[in-house]
Amino acid sequence: MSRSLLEVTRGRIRLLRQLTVARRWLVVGMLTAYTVEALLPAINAWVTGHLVTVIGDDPDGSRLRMAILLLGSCMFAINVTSALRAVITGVVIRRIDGWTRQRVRQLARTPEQIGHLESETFQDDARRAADPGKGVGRTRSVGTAAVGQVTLLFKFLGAVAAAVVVATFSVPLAVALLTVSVFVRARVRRQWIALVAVKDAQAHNERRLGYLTRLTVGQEAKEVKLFGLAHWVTRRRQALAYHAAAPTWRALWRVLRHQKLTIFLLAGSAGLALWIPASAVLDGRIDAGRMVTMIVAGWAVLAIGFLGFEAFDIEYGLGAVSALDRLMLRHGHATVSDRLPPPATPVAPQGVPEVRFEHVHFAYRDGRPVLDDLCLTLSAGERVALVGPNGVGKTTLIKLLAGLYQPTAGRITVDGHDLRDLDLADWRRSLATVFQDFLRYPASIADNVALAAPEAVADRAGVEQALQAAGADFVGRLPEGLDTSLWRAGSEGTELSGGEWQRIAIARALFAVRNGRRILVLDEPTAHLDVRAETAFYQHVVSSVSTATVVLISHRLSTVRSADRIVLLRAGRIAEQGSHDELMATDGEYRRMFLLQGSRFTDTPAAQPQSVGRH
Amino acid sequence: MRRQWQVLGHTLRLSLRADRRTVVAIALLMAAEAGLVIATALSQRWLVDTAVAGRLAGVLGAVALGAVAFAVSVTGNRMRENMLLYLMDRVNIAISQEILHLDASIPTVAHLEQPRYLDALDRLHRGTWTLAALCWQYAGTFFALASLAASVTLLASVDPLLGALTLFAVPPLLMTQRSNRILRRMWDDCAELSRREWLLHDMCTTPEAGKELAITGAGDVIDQRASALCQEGIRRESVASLRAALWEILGWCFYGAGFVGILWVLSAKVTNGEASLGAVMMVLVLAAELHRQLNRVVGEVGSLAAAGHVVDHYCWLRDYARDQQRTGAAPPARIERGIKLENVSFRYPGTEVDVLRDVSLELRSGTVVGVVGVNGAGKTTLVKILTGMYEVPAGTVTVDGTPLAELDPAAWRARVTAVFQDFARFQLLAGETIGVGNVRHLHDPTRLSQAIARAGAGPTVAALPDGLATQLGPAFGGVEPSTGQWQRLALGRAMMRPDASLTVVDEPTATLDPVAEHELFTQIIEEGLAADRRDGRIILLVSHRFSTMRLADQIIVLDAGRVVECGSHAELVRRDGVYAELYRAQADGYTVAGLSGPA
Repeated sequence: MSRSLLEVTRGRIRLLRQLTVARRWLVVGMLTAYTVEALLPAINAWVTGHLVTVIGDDPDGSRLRMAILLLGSCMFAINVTSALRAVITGVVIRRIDGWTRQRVRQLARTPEQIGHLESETFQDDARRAADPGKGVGRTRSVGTAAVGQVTLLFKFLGAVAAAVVVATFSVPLAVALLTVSVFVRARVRRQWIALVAVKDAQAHNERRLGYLTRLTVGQEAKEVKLFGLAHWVTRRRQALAYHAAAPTWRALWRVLRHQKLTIFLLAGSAGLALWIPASAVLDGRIDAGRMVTMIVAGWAVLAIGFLGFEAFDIEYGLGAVSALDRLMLRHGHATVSDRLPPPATPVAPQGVPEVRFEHVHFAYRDGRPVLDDLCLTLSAGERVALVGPNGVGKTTLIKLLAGLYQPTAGRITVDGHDLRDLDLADWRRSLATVFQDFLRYPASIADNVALAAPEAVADRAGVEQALQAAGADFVGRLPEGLDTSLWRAGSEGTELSGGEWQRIAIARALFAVRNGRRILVLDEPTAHLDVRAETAFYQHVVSSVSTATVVLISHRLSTVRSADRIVLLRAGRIAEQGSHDELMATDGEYRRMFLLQGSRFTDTPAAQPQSVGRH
Repeated sequence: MRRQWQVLGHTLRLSLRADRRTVVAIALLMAAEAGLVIATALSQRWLVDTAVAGRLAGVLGAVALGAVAFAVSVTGNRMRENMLLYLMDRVNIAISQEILHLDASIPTVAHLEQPRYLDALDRLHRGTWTLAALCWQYAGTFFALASLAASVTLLASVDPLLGALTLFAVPPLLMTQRSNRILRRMWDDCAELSRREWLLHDMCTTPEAGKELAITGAGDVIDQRASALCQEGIRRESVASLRAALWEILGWCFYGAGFVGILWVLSAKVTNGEASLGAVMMVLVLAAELHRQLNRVVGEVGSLAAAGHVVDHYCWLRDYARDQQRTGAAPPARIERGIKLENVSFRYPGTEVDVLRDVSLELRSGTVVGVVGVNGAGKTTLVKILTGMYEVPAGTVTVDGTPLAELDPAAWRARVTAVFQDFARFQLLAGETIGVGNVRHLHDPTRLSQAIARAGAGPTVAALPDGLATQLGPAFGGVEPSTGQWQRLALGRAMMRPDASLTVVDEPTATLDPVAEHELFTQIIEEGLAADRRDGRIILLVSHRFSTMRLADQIIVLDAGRVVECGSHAELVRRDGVYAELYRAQADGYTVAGLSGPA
């Protein structure tokens, strides 16, 4: 933990720089309030002493009245300034935090691929930069840290101002009080912040504890009851709780036992602050009023010894800004607004393009190969079905098609142009996809459909037509129709069933096609639909799309058999392709799989395909 | 109130059991802190008076008292808070355990599926700290009141009028209360805004959502909406906190006037020689602290009231657990005849719609029974009733003639095993995820490998980097299995009870590919149909896919909570009802052209 002074200063200045994202007048207002707040205790000390002086020797009472009013105003001003300052700092903190979150979002979307989103480093830094940290009863963030740094600076300023008042009486006393207070503060800070670090080191165990508690109330609760796990879970939780707390407890008692020096120094400095002015009165060097001024001012110097929240806020915030800086360093070379200029070969705007995968290889960053020399052509307007066992790379193929990943080798072309040379944002405007884990926006039904084509977000008629085409009749029965909020956790949200959500997702894709998307990809679009809807899906939805190429991914071969072409993937490449009839005519894997699924509808079981392996 | 005292006594006992010496230390520190304002005020009076009078001994005494009071005010508070943190940590563990045990002793899950109860339970789990701190809340209230009373007494000792003038601190107090209310309402108001902002924020930064946002280009819209929500939050907070501050400032106006009034009365007394300069110092200290002292009293009383809610939740759970306690006969080791439902109707507590209506059916011993029906037909509810998760309010469920309600719930559960549609994804070690199906044999390698074999989970386990020792769940630094893999592990867990009287498999195939689905079904059905394993066991398969049911001995068709058809596959097809229609609808996908080909 030994950081050089230079490094510490640099970190602190970095925090202060963060203030520039708040409005200037807010910052000026905040600094003014802090300045007044820092100077008032020193003034208060003088006014208090003045009152004690005049109370004894003012026969006509006008100076006394003045002194009383002055002191009352001082008390009033201290409290009013602090109330107003709290309002301003609150807004400054929220502005800084809002800005930080926005910046993180921008940085997340700056690279055109999404690989970085999957990296642990990105996720850790993004969370560290934007997520609030837990304090006792309050949250910590970049904003609280920046403001905390200001608080700290002005606390010092206040102490120095009070020390100047003390110095008019005794320079050695002023220096001694200031030195001891700053030393005590540094010592106390070191002790307690080290304690926070010990506690933070147990964060993973805390997570585990939270998980074990949730097991008994969450989705897992049913099985916890069924299998009679509760006692096992609680025993385990208890052991873990003691295990996780032990280091913190040990460190805590160590700190508590090491308070003697602090107490001694504090009592000593307070004793000096009282004794030296009092002894001067005993000697007759000063009067009672001056003594009171010195005591009140001395107390104000000692106040710096109180360790407020700001010390912990700053510590947390330093980590957050360095996470933000790391993100900016890695991803901040271009912001969303000033991406590279569009490349030379834009996609032809009209017509459905032909897409070719040419010897495409792809492996995830852990080296696991997914696609291996894949060659596939999606002709304009074709309806292609992709089938194959779980984990064969069907979803990866979509991501490559959308340019979310780059092939590790080989290339993908659009009407003959390499995808790498195209403006990706432009290219993606010709795609519509329904992923298996499609998004559930915390927004209205209309938005949930229309966000597939954000440029047409206000097209309610289009949304209605898309919903109708997707068979989402239930929308008509909802009291608020298209404006029904689908955010269940919100105050007026409606919960949809899995099947209903799936229809919303299908409507989303159809809306995108209506708005000019030329390639429609549907990944397991019927997984949550019931039997009747599933059997009608191809006919009602897929066949109705006439202006786009359709890529349909499904496990259920009955739902894809009408496709123009069925492509069977195995081990990262095409194993078989052709129409349903063609594939059934060859004695291949597709036929085996189809018969296998169909066999459960026939009375004579088809060949028991125990030999069909999974890859 | 009596309950609150009971719980108070209980938490005090827990505190004492946790660490007696710390309890005493905290109480002493609390008392010392309560006396701080008084000690500081008195020391300042003595200091001024003795210094002016030239009494050295008095000055030294006053300096010593003031110095100690200062040291305690700086370190004592922090020490007490941290000792309290330590003590609360210990008591908190004890209370959490107690709550978990209470919850565990309730045989049904009604309280876990109703938002109202779940909310109470959730607040209770998050409120364990409040419970642990309950006795200290009372102590805090007591000492805050004592400290305030001492201040007022001390002021009144200078002049009764000064004591009366302390009332000037009441209107400011009310205004502070009002200002706090404004802030609280604003925070409640903004909580939803902020949750929505976070949701949108997370969409922009996670890969799952990122892929769709990148393709649709909706990322910009989502980003803007998140920023707009943030701006709106800032606007509301600014307005509210400014209003709150204005109330508070109005309060300080009153307070300032009262303060000036006190000084006025006091300085008149000093001029008349009825009070010393030291008294001025003392009154200044006391008057400046009065506001804080009053606020502390109100704050402590307020948090006592808040703690009352948690106490209510705690007492509710305790009583509920007691009411739900049931013991009963041991279930038969082997079911001879079967499980019978007679005229069972069911609706979820707090809802208006019957999910099951007048259902009568029989699951004969030693058979495989299929339950089919479209979504929302009541299949899952039937499963919950059979596994004892809910009791039936109307109708009876009997096992070999004995009502299920008269069997010992835990013992019946021990005879049952299941894979639910929303199976649990226990983020433990892979071996534990399976082994908890029979927790007594959690680490028995033979049973574990048998269960894995029966569930066909061998390849799944082999694919994990460390086999059975693999940590699952990325949150704990482990791997995230695919849905299919999780399902295999869940099936393995169910198979840890190979001799269960009732095995339930609910909707297992929604996310599986054809080969995996086939493997799973043959696995389960062959397992169930194997003559040597039947031995009275009942296997219940639930699905909305009709093809999967053909092999069952008996198929029950549910529609909107009623049994509409019942019989073997052949019987139901002959009958040409709902089952036959839906079966054909699915089968057509494979038959019309498919099997007219070169099959």
